[in-house]
Amino acid sequence: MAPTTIDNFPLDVLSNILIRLPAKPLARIRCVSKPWNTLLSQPSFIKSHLQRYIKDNDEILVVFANGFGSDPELVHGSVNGLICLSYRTSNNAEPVIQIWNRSLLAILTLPSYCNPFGCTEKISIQFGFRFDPKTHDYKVIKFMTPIPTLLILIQNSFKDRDVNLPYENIQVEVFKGFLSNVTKIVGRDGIFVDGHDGHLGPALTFWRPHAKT
Amino acid sequence: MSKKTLTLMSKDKQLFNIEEHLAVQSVTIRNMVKEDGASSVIPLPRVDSETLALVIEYLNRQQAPEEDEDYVKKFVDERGEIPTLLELAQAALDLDIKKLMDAACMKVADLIKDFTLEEVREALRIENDRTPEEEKAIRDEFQWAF
Repeated sequence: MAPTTIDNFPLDVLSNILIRLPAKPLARIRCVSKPWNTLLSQPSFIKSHLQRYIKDNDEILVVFANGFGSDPELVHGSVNGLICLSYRTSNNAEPVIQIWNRSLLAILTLPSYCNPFGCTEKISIQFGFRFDPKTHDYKVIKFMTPIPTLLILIQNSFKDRDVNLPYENIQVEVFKGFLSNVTKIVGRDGIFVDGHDGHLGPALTFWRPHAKT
Repeated sequence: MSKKTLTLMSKDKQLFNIEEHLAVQSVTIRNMVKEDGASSVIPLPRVDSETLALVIEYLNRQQAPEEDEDYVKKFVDERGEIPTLLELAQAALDLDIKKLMDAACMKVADLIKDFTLEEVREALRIENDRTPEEEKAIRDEFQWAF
């Protein structure tokens, strides 16, 4: 059987080279050709790139500091290296949820969603971030109190369900494409290990490393 | 008692002999030896003779384990031409010689990471199938990288 090739280039060799590139050149070479762009967009490539990056980079991942920006930003957890965080543009605004893939310096902002309760005042919102190994889906769960709400994210689009469910019945959303492997998040209050929620006080702000360097 | 020798055959049908205890650094060959004793010639249909000669040179190295990392890096550095490195990476992949594969791929990645798009295409002989508009769309999307 002939080996798979991309632009007459053995795919296995090419993947093994490109996986060793840092985020910037990797983003640039998406322009090289269509098949390259396709390869670089594949979840399996993204996942391998991140796993490799994490294995080789044992640095402090996130540094929290007071006073950076005016709005509190929160980390809701990390799964397989993806980090879920949110921030508000103003006190009354719905949180904007983002997923950060640090090996690609990529931040994915999830589509906004409507709040079935209208005004968010007096409503406490919490998010959970999980991975379903069965389906390889990432799930963002939104809990709103006093009424628990289910937020389903299916392939990049949010669906609100204004149903009341007991917590144990909550099923969740689905989010494919971005994969990763965080080993640790370091915050002022401690270390949050992969797969565990890190919930931080609102006084802490989050340094977003996708800023241009 | 003489050491057991294996014969490897390149894409262009050249034969290379190597002692079995050295050849089994290649996981692919090790598995073949385990399975059937690999008494016959082992064909390597993706590896040309020049590259196979390099691989054999690498497998025959007499390096203390603690110097091995430096050796493989130097070995690859000395063959810093991209076409050679690509062939070497492919051979190391087919033969499953991890350190050599890692070093060869890393070297290529290091070389191309500062290349312009044109230089990447030229070095890897890739045809540009993008229209200027398509290229611009990607540039816009990944503005921070350019």
